[in-house]
Amino acid sequence: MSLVGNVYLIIFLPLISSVTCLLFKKKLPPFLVVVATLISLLLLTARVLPEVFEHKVIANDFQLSPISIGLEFKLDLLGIFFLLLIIFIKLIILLYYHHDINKTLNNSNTKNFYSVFLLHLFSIIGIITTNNIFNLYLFIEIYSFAFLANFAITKDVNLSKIKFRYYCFLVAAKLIVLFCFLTIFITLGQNNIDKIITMVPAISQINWQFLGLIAALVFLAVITSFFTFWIYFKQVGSPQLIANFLAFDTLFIKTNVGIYLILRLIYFLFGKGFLFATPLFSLTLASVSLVLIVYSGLKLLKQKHLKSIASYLCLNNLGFILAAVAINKTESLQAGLFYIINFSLINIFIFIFATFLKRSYHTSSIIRLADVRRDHFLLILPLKIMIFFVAGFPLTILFFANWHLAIISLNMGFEIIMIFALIFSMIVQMSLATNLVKSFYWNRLELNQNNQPQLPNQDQFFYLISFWLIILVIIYLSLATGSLNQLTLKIANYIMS
Amino acid sequence: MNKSSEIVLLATILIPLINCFACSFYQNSSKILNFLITAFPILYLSNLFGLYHATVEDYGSICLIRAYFNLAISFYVGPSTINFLFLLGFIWLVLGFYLRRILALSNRDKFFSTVMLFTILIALINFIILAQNLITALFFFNCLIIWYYFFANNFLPKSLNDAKISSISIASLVLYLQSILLFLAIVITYKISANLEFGQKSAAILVNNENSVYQYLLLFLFYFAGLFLLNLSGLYLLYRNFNFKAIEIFIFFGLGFSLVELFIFYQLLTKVFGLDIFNSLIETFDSQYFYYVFLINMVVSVVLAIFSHNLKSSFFYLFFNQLAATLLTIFVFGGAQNDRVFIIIANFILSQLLIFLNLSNIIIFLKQLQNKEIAGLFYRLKITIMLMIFAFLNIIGVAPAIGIFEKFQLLKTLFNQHSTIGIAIFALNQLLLTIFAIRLFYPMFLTNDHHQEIDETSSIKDIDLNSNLILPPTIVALALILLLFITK
Repeated sequence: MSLVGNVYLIIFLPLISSVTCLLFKKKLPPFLVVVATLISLLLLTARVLPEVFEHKVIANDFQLSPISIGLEFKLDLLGIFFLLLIIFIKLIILLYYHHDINKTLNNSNTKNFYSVFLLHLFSIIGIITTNNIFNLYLFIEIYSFAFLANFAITKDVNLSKIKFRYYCFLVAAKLIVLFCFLTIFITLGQNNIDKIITMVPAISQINWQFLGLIAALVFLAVITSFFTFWIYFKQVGSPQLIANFLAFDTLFIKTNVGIYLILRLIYFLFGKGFLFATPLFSLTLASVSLVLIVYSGLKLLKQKHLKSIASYLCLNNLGFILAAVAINKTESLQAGLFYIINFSLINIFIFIFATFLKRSYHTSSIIRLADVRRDHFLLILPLKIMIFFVAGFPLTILFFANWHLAIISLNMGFEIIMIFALIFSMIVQMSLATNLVKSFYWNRLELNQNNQPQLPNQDQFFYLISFWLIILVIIYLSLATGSLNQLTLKIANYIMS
Repeated sequence: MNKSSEIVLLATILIPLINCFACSFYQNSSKILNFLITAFPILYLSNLFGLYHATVEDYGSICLIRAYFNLAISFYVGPSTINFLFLLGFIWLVLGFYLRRILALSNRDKFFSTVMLFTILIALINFIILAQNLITALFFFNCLIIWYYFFANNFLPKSLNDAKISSISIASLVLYLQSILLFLAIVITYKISANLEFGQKSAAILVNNENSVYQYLLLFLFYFAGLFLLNLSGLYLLYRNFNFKAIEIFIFFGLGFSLVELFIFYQLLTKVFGLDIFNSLIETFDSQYFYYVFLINMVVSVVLAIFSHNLKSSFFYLFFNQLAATLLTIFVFGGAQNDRVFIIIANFILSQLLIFLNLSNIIIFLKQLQNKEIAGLFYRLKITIMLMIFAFLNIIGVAPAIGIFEKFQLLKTLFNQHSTIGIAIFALNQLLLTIFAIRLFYPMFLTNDHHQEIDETSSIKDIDLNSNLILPPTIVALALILLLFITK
């Protein structure tokens, strides 16, 4: 199949599979369809990767109509990076929660659930690959629909309230996006993002207030749509399937899509020339990032539950990603990309381990790690290995993130303040790692012998697969850090160009 | 490097690691464990001779992961590292032999924990000595910090009050800071030179440049604080009257950590800064500022040792005194006689080892006494006390061992440098050490009228005739004397 055909397959395969899921009556076939789809998507993306790596962008546009869904796409280095991450996260979430889905949902709900799950993925791929503002709006619409549909099956009042609040934010954000895109289309007569980008410098010279207003509104919309995870923070400890799915989506998938859109908006749509020329833009971003890093760091020092540790680690990583954007240099963006990988792999592992702990030992407190160590050697081993990655040991993902940020922060500019944030954060990381070590061994005398976990073998099997899949990918990335550094350097150069 | 040399180097890397796994695998069998802790150091030392011959003409290196230009986890062996490897092998052999006595004195669980802690420490130190670049050294230095935390939480008595636990937390925090300072120093080094590898023959990573002297000074301070912040910040004042119940664990911790720090410092002087830069730093900025730091630490720690009522804590302070004295000696010698640095470090490590092995024997003996007084101890533990006196004479600089040579050379260099403050520090420290030694040993020679009865249930009755207890310090004392001949 041709390269363009492959990309079209990446875009439409989830949609086709989503419909296919509805054809089955039993629980297992839809699950197998989703797994096969995700693996195929990973393989297809990996196949396309060398071409994208070489040409930086692969695009196709027949320009047949303003809203030409399926007839245009643009897959670049940044897009394929996020595509790989998100598909992998989806695969992990699916494997990990498979047994819960089977237990909680009936046959009809299961196939609907899987169908919507794939529709959700389709919308994300659409958001990442589209090069048309109306298509972007359309995919955001499908995304919000799929997001709500996935959580419609819950009967929990608290979750329903949270879902409703999310819905309100999404509606408000979508209205803002629609208004902005219509304004852009009416003013410029274009809906192709590449063509809009070429017009931005001229508009910024003629009417920068207009461009500034549009930029501010679009950023507001993206933040309200994709970064409103604080709504969920109170419910983060809930053991429910839907609650966990919600947490996963808001903390990891939504945020990744949000980061992608923010990077796209800053560096491509509005152009870094316009935004970074605006006085105090970098300083404001740096200040916000500093607040996020310090706040999350202070909170992390007090946390005893793995779920909240994962959540605050996410906040901490987001702070650093923002700092990387604020510094606006190739090395800082490289650091940012490493923080994104760290955010998407390490934090996810901690989060799903916390879910496992909560389900098996009725708490996600790290004190229980000693029990897991006693009962499940193969399940605790990945977490033990993870300590090196949490502490940011040399040649781990976090190490390179810190390394690149430190290199660029050691300059005489406002970026020097990031050194203090980095020092503080590294202390927190080391402290977290040593706390985990302490939990493994120090509490062994206080073990509760009667509190034996009830873990069916089938559950254990899926936990094992998910934990080891993530840890093996992380170890592989650490062993192949040479290639990973090249990839991030190439993406950073592409973004900066 | 040819294939056979690579295999010998790989064996040197792996032997301590295999030892960890083997000990873990045979944790339930005391006999096999006992065999392993003495067999592996012998295997390691014999392998080192092979490595020494294999690398006479060529430097060997093995790269595990190469990430990014000069960022890699890799190992190498050169003439200077071989010396440190032999020192490590010797310590491993002596302490391995000594560990057998723990089996006789404590239960199997404690024995196994101690053996595991010890073997992991040896493996980590081995990795650091073989590290080919700063990144590899930092990786295993961080491992050592986590190891320390594990040690502090598992082996120090759980009956500690909150203040003491918080002092452990403060120590951990300082260690984290050390690790971060080292990280930042490495980043700066990389920014300046884009090179972090030690491997090149006699070439330093940084290039001497008169315009960069302030930058280099800052970098040197980062490295120095990254290595010695915990030891020289006076943090030991928090541990006043700290009763270390597990003295052997403290030996591992104190000696292991200081050996690593001093080794990395040695690598920094020789392979990162080089003699030219180090000398220009000392010439441009008055090195006496560093002398003041050492002076304060030496005087405070020895005064605390003199006035300490607890035998263990007085030796704890003596350790910090000797570390500061060693650093002073390295500073004096480092720029001029680089080849002597290894001798200084070896002298420090071996004399401290000798002191703590003897101290441990004394403590074992005192535990068996009813009123636990040291009066008249010389008449009951003649060999141990003689060895202890020898250790003190060595650190004061009057025994026929490496200490006398080192002290003589130090004084000579200080006179040549016309460093009044250096001579004053040295003289004051030696005087205070003599006072401490007299205060310590005087009661031991007094005749004890109240003859203390030994507990008959004790498993060890005559320490001076117990080979597990007396052979290790005797061998260390002999090594200190032999070191004098090696110097010649």
